[in-house]
Amino acid sequence: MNSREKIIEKIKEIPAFPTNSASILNKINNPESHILDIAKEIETDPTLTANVLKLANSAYFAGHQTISTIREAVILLGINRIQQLIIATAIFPTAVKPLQGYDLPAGELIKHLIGTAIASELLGKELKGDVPPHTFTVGLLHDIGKIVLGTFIEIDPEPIIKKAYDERLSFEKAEKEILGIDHSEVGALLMQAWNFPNVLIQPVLYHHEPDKAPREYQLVTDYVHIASNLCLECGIGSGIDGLNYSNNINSIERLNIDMRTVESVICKLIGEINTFMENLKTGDIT
Amino acid sequence: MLLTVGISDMKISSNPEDVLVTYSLGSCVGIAIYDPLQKIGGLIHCMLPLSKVDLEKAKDVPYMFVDTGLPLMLQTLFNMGADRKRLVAKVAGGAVLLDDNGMFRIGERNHIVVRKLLWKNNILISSEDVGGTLARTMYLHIIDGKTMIKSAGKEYEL
Repeated sequence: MNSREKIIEKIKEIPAFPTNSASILNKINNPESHILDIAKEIETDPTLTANVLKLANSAYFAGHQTISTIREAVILLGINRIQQLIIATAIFPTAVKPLQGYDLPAGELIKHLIGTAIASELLGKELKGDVPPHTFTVGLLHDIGKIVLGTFIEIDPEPIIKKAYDERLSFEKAEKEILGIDHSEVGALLMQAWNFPNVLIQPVLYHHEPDKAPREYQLVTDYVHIASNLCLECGIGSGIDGLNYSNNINSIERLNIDMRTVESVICKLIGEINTFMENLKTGDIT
Repeated sequence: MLLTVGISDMKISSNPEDVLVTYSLGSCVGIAIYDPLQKIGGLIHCMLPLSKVDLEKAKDVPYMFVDTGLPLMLQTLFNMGADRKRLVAKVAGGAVLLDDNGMFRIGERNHIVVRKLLWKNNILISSEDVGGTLARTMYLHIIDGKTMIKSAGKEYEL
């Protein structure tokens, strides 16, 4: 078995996405579901309820209001936000751990995921553009493949880094050459195993190659592609791969981003991440 | 004591037991300035070159920008007795994406504004480690002004 096959084999052994959360996400994506029924179902799971409320009350989502029940959260924040919160709480316990294979200390990957989700929304606001509701969620999930490669498989990053620097290759291309697969594809395969919908899988798969994304998913992919690179520039979750990635010129053109837009987003980014993270400490979301 | 300088933050110390540190400099710049006689030093972590992009933000968080943060750090050092003629400046960070398609070049522009401002203030940069695609961590030891860089698992003196 070559390393690509071994990695794909390993994905099957990774713990399933919390079943209850998965079933709720499916209901959220089913247009026939009623939002108050979804609220009721969340409330039957006390841990999920506590976690969702903790995040919902961060200033990023709630502003100055206090949200004390899931029903209130659903009504005040809308069902799209609830979906984002459920995914955030589901990945938090794993994404907060250190990532040996990428030399990321504890707390850094989750900060990068949250930062990318927030930066993609800020970009949309700054550009006065349409930000599809899945954008934030894709931001939260885009590097989930790094968890597989960095903790469950514990890849040896040395040959990948050497290849990237010797040949001036972007990190994900070097990953693909050495491992036969890169963290984007690993993430997409994991999400497939978790029965996630294509609207989430495709932008994760193409977040380093947005031109290849199917047209209907390209806008989300472009936002997350640029947002993730912006976070790396700001030092938010850059590990051993550093800034060894490229901005896609076509994404820049499609979104019509200029330097001023980028700098305005950067100005706001850290403050917004802090408003999201203020209630969160390691081990807080279980 | 290890004192952390956050993103868009600055710290100054004259306690010889202190080490100032700033983590994960990507395109941001870290500037360490030290007076070897007074044994006083400061470290700043700026994200962006110029404050004109958001003047309101610059009022709240002056250390976010090189053009508002660096002069404020220098002024604070002077007020605490540091002498311009003795100051030793070291610069790190300013990394760039492998290929950002010429669009943002934040790292490069941060570096340019740091050089300009220090030159205007008659302060020479004694050493620097800037550019490339690696993130860096920067330490300033107040006891002797030693400045260390940690990057991609390696540690070296600047």
